[in-house]
This record gives sequence, structure tokens and C-alpha cells, in this order.
Amino acid sequence: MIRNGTATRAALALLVVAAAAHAAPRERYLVIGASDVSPAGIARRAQALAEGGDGTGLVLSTADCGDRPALFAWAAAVVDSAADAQTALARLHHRMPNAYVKRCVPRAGSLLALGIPAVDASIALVSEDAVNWTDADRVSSVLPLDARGTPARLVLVRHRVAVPDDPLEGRRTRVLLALSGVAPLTLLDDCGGARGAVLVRGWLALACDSEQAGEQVLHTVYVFTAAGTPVTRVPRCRQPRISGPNTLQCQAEAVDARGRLRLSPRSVHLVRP
Amino acid sequence: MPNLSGSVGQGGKNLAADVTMVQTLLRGRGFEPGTAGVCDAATIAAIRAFQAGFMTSPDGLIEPGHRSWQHLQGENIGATPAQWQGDSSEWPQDKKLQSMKPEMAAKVRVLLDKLTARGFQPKIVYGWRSVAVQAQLFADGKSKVRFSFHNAQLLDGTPFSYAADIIDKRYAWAPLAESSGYWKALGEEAHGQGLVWGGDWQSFRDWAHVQLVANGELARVMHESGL
Repeated sequence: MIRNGTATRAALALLVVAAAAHAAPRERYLVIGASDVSPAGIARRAQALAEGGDGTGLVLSTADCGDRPALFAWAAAVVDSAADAQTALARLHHRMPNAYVKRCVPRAGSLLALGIPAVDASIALVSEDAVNWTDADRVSSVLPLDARGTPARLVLVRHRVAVPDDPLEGRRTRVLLALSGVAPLTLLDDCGGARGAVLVRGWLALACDSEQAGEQVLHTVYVFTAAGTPVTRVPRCRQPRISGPNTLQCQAEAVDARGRLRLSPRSVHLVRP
Repeated sequence: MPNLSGSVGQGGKNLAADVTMVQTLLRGRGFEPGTAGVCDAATIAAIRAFQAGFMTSPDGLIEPGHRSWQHLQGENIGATPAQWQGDSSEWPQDKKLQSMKPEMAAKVRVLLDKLTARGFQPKIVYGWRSVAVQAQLFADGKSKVRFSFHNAQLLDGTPFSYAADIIDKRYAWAPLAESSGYWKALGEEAHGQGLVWGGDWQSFRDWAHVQLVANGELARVMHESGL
């Protein structure tokens, strides 16, 4: 499903993108209450903390602070000063004596810098006997866009939906457009395998897994304006690229009776909304 | 072969003698575990890599008497019998039917007859396919799942598929399959046999796919397959 945007928001977003393109990373203080090496583990601990009245906090990966190897952590607070961090830590210490403050300069454009959880809260609800969930399906990520000079990014929020007898066991990927200085905008609620994203000439295109055909996964290409306003969708196409001022090109997909995939070039004229 | 006295790997007891034994066996199979007698990250990674050859969800743990330990000792657990090897998409239709659980095969036979009676030319593209083929499809981005109902097997490795992919051989997955009414007919006849049809899946359609049981049974089927 494509989410609707507005022209006003689009114009504002583009202005903010240009203005904030070179914003410097900001030092933060993380008040850490729990950590875990696995995304499933931190999701369950964060859920327990939330149910225990400790607030939602923020689940993060210390990789966003440059740590190698990294851990997943639950931060009760993410603040700008050491003093504020000590205050938050003091509030936390009587319930979590092992809580501590971690100083961090979030990598530019990382989930932590954007304030988006590294592991969505819904991941805690993934069944322990789920067959086809991997750690990668549990961790959100940032996808830089092919956009010279702009810090625009796509955020892939991997989450779980409660749909009985779902063929993907509730695995989903929500796609957000993160433009500096504005709240991330949801582009797609479900875009498994999001790939091939490009941002060129004011058009944003990406391909999502959409159906199975024998032993081939087929895709749908979605096109938006640079500010996230939906433009069109092209079923059974992959590898989108913008080849002219208003032209999308992708590879149309067909599968023959022996299950072989055949690709052929397809052009689509784009009209600005 | 001496036995392990405790588990080795991720979350295991990791007694030095046991770790050394597992590392020796892993090296013999071409893997590169870490420091002798120490269950370090390299050893766990080697265990996982070894398990990936026969498990859909490697856990990095070798336990006495369990499947990974049996495999590590060279026991041929669940290997596909010779007559079922090769590219299962190229098998004759009868062999594809034989690769299914008998209850599934019976329903698919009726389904094929009913579709034929309606003027279609149904063809089974896949009945069973091996876990190894499935793993490769997953790795190549050609499937969204590492284990599916197509991969079900008996404990001795005999195919026991709960699923089939059935096209009209004139249309395959082309738009004509929809405009001719084939997908709709497949869905109707599948429902008539009490089968689950992939065309009903809103999140990720699989038009040609039918299966014997609901998706919620996948874990049970995988465990019954010894995987």
C-alpha cells in the first residue's frame, strides 16, 4: 500500500534536505538498562521492561556508535548532556543496578541518529518456533539512496504482523523515507526484499518482492517523488532506474512453463502528481 | 568413536576435551575452528557452517546423541535416497506425485482431473524439492523461505511433500493464466479438495501453489521431517 503525501510537506522536505545536508554528528549519552547479543533477546527484554513500567525506551545497536563487535541495547533515555544522563541513571539505578551511561557519537544517518529502534517492538512477539525468521529479519536497517549530495535515506523497519496462517509467518518490512530535519515518512507498509532504490531527477524508485512464481520471486516497482508522494507502481518488474527526465526503466519479468525467468526492458512515462 | 560428555558450542558446557574432539572432527570436514580446547567465536562459526549443510536453522550447538553430533560422526542422517536425487522439477508427473505425501497426492490427482475436465492443461512444476535446493533458492533470493511444505520428508530422507505448484502448461505464469480463468479454477478446485491455495495469500501471492495444511503447521511439518 502506498501512503499519501502532500505537496506542502514535499516542498518543505526538499528544503530541509538541502539545508541539513552537511549537519555535523552530535554527541549523545545513552542510559543503558539492558543489552543482548541477539535481536530476539533484546526485543523480549525491552518488552518485559515496557510491561514492567520502565517505558518504551529505545532499542539500539551499538554499531551505530562505531562499536565492533556490537551489542543490542535498551536505552531508557538518550540525552544530550552528561548531567542529564546522570540524572536519568539515578532514576533507573534503584531498579536496574547494572545500568550505565554510554557516550556515543551516532554515525550520520544511522537508526540511532534518526531515533528509530534497531529492533521493532513487534519482534518480541515472533513465535519461538517460527521456521523462516532469521536474525536479519528482526533488525531494521538504513538504505542510502543513490542521490548525489543529499542525505536522503530509506529506513527498512523489519517487523511482525499478527496475521493467522500467514505464508511469511508475519514477516514484513515497512519502508520509511528519512529526510533530514523532518519526521520519517512511511512510503510502504510492506516491501519485503526492498532493493534497487534510486533517487534521481526528483524521482524515487525501488522494487519490492511481491509474488512467488515457481522458483522465482517476482517484484513490483514503486515510484515516488523525491519527497515521498506516490506516483505509480509497476507489477512484475525489477531493477528500476530513471533514464530520462520523466522515464522509468525496469526489467519486466516473465516465467515460462519450465520455471525459467525471462527479463525484458520496459519503459514507463512518469507524470508528476 | 568416543562420545561427548557434554554439549559443545553456543550455550554449551564446552568441556575442553569435548571441544577438542568437536574441533578435530570439524577440521576433518574442512572447517576451521579456533583455538584448541576453547569454544571461541571461530569454533561456533565453524559449527554453524557445518550445520548449514543439513539444518535450516543452525544453532551452533553440538549435543551428545543429537542430530548434529550424529552428522559430525559421519552418520548418514536423512540423506536423500538415490532414486530421489536430481532436479525434481524435471521429473515425470507420476514421480512428482509419488514425491508427495499420499493424502496430498490423492487430492492433487483429483484436482488435475477436474482441471482437465474444465479444458485446462494442468502440469505439476514441483512436488517435492530438497532442503538443499530450497536453501540455494533462498540464498539466491528466489524464495522467501528456507523451509517450505515442498521440503517435507520422512526421517530416512524419502520425499513426503505437502505442497505442489500446478500451472496450465500453455500459460505458465503469464497474464493469460489469469485472463483465461486458470488461476481462479485452480483455486476453486483446490478449495474443493480442502487444500490451501497460494492465490489467497494477500501478503505474498503464490498463484500456482497448493498445500495440504495451513501455514501455521509449518514448524510441526519441519520437525516431523527431522529438520
